[in-house]
Amino acid sequence: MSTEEIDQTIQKLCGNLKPVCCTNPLRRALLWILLVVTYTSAVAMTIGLRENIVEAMNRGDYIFELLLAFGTGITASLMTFWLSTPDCERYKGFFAVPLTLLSVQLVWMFDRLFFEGMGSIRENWLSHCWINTALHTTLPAIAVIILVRKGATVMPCALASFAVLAVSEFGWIGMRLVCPNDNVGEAYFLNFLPYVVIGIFAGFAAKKLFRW
Amino acid sequence: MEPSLLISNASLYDRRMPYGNEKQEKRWQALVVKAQSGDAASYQILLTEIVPVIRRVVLRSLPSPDITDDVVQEVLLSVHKALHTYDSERPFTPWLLAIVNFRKTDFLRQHYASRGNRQVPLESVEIPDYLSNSDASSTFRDIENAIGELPEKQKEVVELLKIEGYSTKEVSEKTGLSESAVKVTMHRALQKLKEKLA
Repeated sequence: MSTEEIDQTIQKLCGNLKPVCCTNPLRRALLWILLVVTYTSAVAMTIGLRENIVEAMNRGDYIFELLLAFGTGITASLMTFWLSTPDCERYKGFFAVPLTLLSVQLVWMFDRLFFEGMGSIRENWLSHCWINTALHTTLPAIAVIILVRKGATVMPCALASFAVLAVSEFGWIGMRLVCPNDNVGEAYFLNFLPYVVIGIFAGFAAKKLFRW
Repeated sequence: MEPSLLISNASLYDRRMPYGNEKQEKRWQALVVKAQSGDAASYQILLTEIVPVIRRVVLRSLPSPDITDDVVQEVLLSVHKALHTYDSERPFTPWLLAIVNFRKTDFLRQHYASRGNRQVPLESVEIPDYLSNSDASSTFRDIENAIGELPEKQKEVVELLKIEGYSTKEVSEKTGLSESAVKVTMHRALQKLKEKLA
């Protein structure tokens, strides 16, 4: 390839130039968060909130769990969309926030797991919870892929990890609103972990998925 | 204040921005903003001005300068595709360098995966000329002499297997030896050649 060919490429690119709108990652993040919060609430209402929702809302541990998941979901989604622009280096410091919240959540879950045990995972394996979780996560996952592809990421794997985290956290909140089972082992292994695993495998395709 | 302690703002800025100065940065920012609004002339100036910067960054880490322009072209296409992601409030150079590094890494990954680093262009291959190169021809003659000194059966097996390229089975049919006897003879012949040529 020669300098003439580079000049030809420049000419061709200038010929194809069309006015473009600067896409703000924060605006896309807020759009997604709004969409996912509305969607999660709508799905929870459609399926039906858990019978003991009033009693659960008065429990500090339940509120703490929801707030922790909400905080992790919000910060992970902000990180996802910030990573969808090339000059995302400046946001690297923010990596710590969702990861710290996730660590707190995992410590909290493992601590409860130690005291509450695994529950009856075998009996509830492949129950309706799977369909409910799929309902909660499919549309947000599709939406995040579409909105992220509007950007141009230079860190596809990190972006995919945060996207998986964001979708899983909102899915988890949705499930905690509809599923009356409070045993953390059961809820975690049936409602959360399978989708994180699926998300991680999807993350392996991140380079292809977010190629530009 | 002592003169040695006086550092101008310009020099500090130059340290932060190794590929240009504040004036150039501002100029590029203005050009990108115009390009985003569809001004092809500004876009052409911008792309032409950034090519040497891209080339300089890319050249430092590529295994061969011949492929530099391929990567430069890839970067130009990527700049075009990602033009809408540039925020005019932010400096242009870090945005550009992020794309350059991403494409460079991408290229190197593909290059090493396809073993491009082990491929040599046909015109660069050096084949020793055994007729005119005395060193090469003497090595060749030493091997011929060593084979000539082997016992008749071993010499025949070496010639058929290694020089004429017959398979073990074919050599077995030609010589009347069993296949395993051919392998053993070949092994012994190679041991002798190794001793002679050492």
